[in-house]
Amino acid sequence: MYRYYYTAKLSAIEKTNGGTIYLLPDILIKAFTLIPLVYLWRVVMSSGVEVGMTMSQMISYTYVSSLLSEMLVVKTAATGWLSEGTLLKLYGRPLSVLGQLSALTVGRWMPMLLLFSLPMTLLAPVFGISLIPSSVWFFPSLLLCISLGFAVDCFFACLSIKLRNMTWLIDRIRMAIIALFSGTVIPIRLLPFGLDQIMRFQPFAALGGSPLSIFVGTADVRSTILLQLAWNIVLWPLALLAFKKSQEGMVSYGG
Amino acid sequence: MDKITPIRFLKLLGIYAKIDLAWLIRDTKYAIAAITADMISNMSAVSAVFLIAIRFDGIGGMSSDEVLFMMAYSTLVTGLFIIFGNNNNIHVSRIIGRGQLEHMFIQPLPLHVQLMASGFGPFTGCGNFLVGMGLLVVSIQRLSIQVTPSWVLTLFLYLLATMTIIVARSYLVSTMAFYSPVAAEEISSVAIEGTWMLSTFPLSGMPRAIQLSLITILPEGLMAWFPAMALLGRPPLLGAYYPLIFAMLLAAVAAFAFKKGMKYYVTKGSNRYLPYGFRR
Amino acid sequence: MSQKDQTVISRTGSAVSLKGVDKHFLQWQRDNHAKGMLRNLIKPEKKVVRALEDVSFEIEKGEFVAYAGPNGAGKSTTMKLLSGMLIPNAGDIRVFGLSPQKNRRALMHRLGVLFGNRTELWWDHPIIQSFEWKKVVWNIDDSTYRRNLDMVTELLDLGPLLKTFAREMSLGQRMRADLGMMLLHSPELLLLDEPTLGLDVVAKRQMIDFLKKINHEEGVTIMVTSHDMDDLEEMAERMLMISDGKIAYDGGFDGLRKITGDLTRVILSMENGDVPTLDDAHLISAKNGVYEFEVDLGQTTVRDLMRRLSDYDGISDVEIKKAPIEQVIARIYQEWK
Repeated sequence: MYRYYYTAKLSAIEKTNGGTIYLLPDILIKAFTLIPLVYLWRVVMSSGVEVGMTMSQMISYTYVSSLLSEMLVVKTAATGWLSEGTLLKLYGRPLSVLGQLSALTVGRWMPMLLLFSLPMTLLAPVFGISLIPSSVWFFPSLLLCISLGFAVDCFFACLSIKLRNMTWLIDRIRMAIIALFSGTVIPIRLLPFGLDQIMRFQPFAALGGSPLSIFVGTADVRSTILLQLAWNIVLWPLALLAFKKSQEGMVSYGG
Repeated sequence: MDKITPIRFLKLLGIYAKIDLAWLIRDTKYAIAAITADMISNMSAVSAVFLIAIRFDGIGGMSSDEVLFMMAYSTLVTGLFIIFGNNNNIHVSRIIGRGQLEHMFIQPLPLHVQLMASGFGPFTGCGNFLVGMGLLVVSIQRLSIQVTPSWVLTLFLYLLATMTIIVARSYLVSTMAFYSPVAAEEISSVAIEGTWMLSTFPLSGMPRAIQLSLITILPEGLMAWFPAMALLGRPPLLGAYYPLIFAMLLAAVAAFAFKKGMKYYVTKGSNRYLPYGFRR
Repeated sequence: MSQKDQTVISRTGSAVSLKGVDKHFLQWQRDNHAKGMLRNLIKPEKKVVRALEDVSFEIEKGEFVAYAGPNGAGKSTTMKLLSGMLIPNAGDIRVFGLSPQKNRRALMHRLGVLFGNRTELWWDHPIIQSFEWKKVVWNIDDSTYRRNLDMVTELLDLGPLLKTFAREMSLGQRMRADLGMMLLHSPELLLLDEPTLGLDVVAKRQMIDFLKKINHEEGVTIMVTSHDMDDLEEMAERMLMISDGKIAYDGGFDGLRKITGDLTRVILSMENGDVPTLDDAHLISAKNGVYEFEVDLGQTTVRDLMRRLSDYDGISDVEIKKAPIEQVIARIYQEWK
């Protein structure tokens, strides 16, 4: 286990090696996006249209979504690395490939959690935002969301292997689809034209939108967690199978 | 040494357009996938805002049709960005950070000419621009806007100002890649695309301090909201000419910083070379 | 050479001149301990790397010069300085009498630059598309382009590759295409940084033959770096060696051998299991009755050596050859260390 911890630690430090000053733009952008977003929701929600969510719930939802963004929609380095042919490197180490990918990804979360999420959490009361989850079931739901995120990422990685040259295209499409379908940008229950009813059951809805809805107390905990569990049970075996089938493609990538 | 005349520059644009067309024809499957990805990516951002506007019957005093007009402007900007920024020439921190400027040093052309021409991809990059034009026509009809030659000229000037701001911002932050190529390789895409969603926010109805900071410190409000409001005949704070002045000032600052960075680069060099992106 | 007048290259005068050139870099040092990491955040530790120190040399037009040295000696830095990618800290650099830093654009019409680990080809396009791009960007006139295209297609056997995507070619094919593309504007000076890197025997052979041919027949000046000393000896007449940023040797390959002693190899094949002994010779290998000795001709003459061998019984065959340049240079590098 220590080996994975050490891999994660290196991955975390790697991001700060060029100097923490170079993380500053990332942090500032996140902060500068979050604050207007909070105000955007204030403006929108003050219109008085009934959407089954209070303004404070909506603002907490947006705030937490930003603080935990990397966990709510997991993105490992697998897809990017394939194009560089360096996934091969992971096979040369006496550790599980998926384990290494997880360790590297978790490691990469740390600098932003420390430098953005932590200070913003401390600042939340200043903006009058509540960061107390309405149910402790938020935590298992977050774990299920992260677990499912890894499975979904695995699928996209396999798709990248299959389609070779199209890695960055797949990445762009994926980010666009997930942004809309996961409910991390707009809560699914706010979608018009009855889209909310259709979108609730698709697998991406079991990602970020689920723990966030439990956090603010707008979701039925039991059915939400059961849906997350179901998607985990369905997608993980399929993801592992796809990963296994794609192994040759990963190793032979680059000729 | 050959002079860079307008004809010579057009010829350069021509060869890049030809290469782009050749890619579309030869690698049709990938090219279409690229066009689709660009369009889906943009539609995801603008449709999110538009769906909110529909659900809440407008945002901060802007009707949903006005929000649609703003999204059309935003989509046009995205389209222009893709048409002229095909080969990381706008996200120049990638070229600098990956040590790929050296490919440019061996070309007998001034660097700024290479950077202006090398990203031109009018065929595979036109998807969003066309969608933007479509949205513009629909929103103009729904809002019954009088389209006069001066209105079209104003639209053109605002688009030019917005594009200048995007390029200048990218070059300004990209100077960091001269000093720290590894850490700042992606800084341009972080700064530009990381805030792209913010540029789709209608700022109407927000506190003045937020509006002001978003048209000065982080000029996302100038990407679509300000020009759209001005074109709708309701220029927000600081007046209708503000985006043009801001664009010129930012371009001057970016040019100064970039030149300074270049000086540092040719003194220090780059011991990093990555064969990614459009360069292998 | 101008693009319109390519057929005759002047073979007199200076092609490259470096006088007292210094080039320093700053390298950040990183600690692995928490205390060091914290210190680095506040005041980063930097080390000055002296890539070139007081380097001076001259290359005449039409010369074929090998530029060698251990890893990190300053070879690539020199190439980048010559092609205007870097500015020296001190000293004067001239290429065809022009400063590469001030006249980069003009010089790029006369220079061909190739780094073995990079390509100028457009990855997702057939080779001919890259060539056409080069024609426009370098403003090559039609007749020069056509003539050079025909020449490189024939000499580098590019015909079957012109319609192939760069991404689909083997390394050897890609290098040939890169070399062909480099020559389309009729450069007078080629700066080649490790052009044989990773090539197989056949591809290497093709490249060496081609470079020798354009040097002899077209009068193109060539400066090439490589770690393969046998290749360099075959191509170039003159060797410039750099070590720790300083020119350590400038001369012919035979002169280089004399530095480590005039070492020669004597290979004896023995008939009846005898083990030969030679005074003043060092036995390097013995296998299946074949014995290889290293002899310093500075200590003994060939005549004396032959006399001693003729006294020996049981020798079925004798072969005397120069010490491989690889090993001579390896010894020099070791001594420098």
